[in-house]
Amino acid sequence: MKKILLFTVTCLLVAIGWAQPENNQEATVSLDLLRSPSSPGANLLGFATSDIQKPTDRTAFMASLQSASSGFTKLPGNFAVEISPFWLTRHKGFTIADMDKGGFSKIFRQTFLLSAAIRNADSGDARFNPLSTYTGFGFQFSIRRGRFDDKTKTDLDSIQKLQVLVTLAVDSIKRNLLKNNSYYQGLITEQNTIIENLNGDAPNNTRFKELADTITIISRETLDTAQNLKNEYKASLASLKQLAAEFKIERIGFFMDFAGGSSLEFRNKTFNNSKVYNAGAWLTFGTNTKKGLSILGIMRYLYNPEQVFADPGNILKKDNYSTIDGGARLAFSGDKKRFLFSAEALYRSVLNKNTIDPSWRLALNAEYDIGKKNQKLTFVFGRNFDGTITKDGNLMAALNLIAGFGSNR
Amino acid sequence: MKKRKTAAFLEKESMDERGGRETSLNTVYFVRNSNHVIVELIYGDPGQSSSTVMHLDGIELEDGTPGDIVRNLGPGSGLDGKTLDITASVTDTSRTSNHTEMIVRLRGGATFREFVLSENVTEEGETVFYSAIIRFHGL
Repeated sequence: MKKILLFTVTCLLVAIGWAQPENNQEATVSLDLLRSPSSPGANLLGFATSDIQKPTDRTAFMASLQSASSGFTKLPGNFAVEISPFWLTRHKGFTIADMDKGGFSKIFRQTFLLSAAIRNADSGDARFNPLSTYTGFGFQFSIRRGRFDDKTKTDLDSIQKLQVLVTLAVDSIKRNLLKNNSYYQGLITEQNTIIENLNGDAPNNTRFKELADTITIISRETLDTAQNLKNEYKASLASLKQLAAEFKIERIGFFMDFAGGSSLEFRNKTFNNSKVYNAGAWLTFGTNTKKGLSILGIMRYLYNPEQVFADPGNILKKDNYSTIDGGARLAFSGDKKRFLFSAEALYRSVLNKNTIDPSWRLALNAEYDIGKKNQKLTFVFGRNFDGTITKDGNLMAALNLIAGFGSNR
Repeated sequence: MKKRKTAAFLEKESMDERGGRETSLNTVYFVRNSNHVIVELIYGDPGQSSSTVMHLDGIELEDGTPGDIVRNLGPGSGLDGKTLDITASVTDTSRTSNHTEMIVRLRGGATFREFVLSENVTEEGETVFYSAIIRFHGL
């Protein structure tokens, strides 16, 4: 046992040492680096996600604008906003029941987001010219998306059944309470009489308003009372709360998202003296299956990016250049999760400069649980971008037998 | 025109003007003889789960239906003197928002009306109940 452990540790150390690239930055890059930003228009101008306002109704949107523009008296100085136009205009189709529906139009209106930003840098800003004004505009939407997986559907079905149960219970209690409330019924009759006797004339608004206010108060109190008579459905409400609190949407199947954005620099803060500052487009696609296969692909085009992925050493000088980066990840786990396989490939290039050649990186991982606790057979293979690890440019290959760093307890 | 102005005035007067969050509505809505009246219920925030129970003068129209609702209640002449009673619940199934709301839209009557009822939950998974009672009157 000690020999196996010693052999394994030796193999592992050799493999780790062999597989350690010289450039730590390159060792840690992964597909996530290429993911689209959450708000392209704002992120292109360097706004942190937490600084982006996300109003969900028209009032909040106008309040944001008013606050940023000092009561609509001037253009905002530094402001970033992300809105969902269809939610802002209160179109229907956003409840959880609608989020598993297919069809491009439904998916588009649920996922379409616009982002916009304006930035005026101060004198200490190293990235932006304080003499210029920058504006950014971006969008994102899903073209296809996966459907709810079986567990999500089952959980949602249970939630909705319980919700129907408690809503019917509250409705029944509420209607009975109002029906048997003679004071409330009297107020309704009096208000109806006022309306019937109007003949198109303006009402005696004082009494009408008094009645309306009292009717509203009684309605509110009745709803509260109906909810507090929980004995009939207390257990259902408790189950509903627990299920809903733990509810999480998991999707399977093919998905495809697209995002894009561009920013303009207005030199000397002049409207007719502008140029494109930077721009980007992101296409993300993939699939998850019930059998445990997961595929993810990302394509990214950037114009004048702050950091060129293919140029970690910052050889390129700030100029008008474009880059295209791509990546794919494949992961598979068997039914019993004993076999795990993953592969990740990244490609990067600078399109209109010959200074830097395109390069690619590949990493393969395979793992098999041989049955005993903490005993796994693992295989790792990789090729780095620049080939500096091995002389011929190929990088690492290692087969490790890990025979239990823990005990058999 | 006079009747329309009066109807709009009365509908406004019968609304609750408290401001802030509200979960209950009890109002009058003036209808015309031939115009069909449409009631639309929109629930939020995105990702929340809803259930609607709806009765028109005691006749059940919705019995716990999930999601948003659009319902044609028929011509105004058939609604005069009747009451639409809605009880709904919104359960917090969204992990990105604790806000719930029910928007009631009425069209086809003397005026278009929109009422926004809303409430925040304090704990994940809680349910908020809403009530909307709309009493129809002919012009």
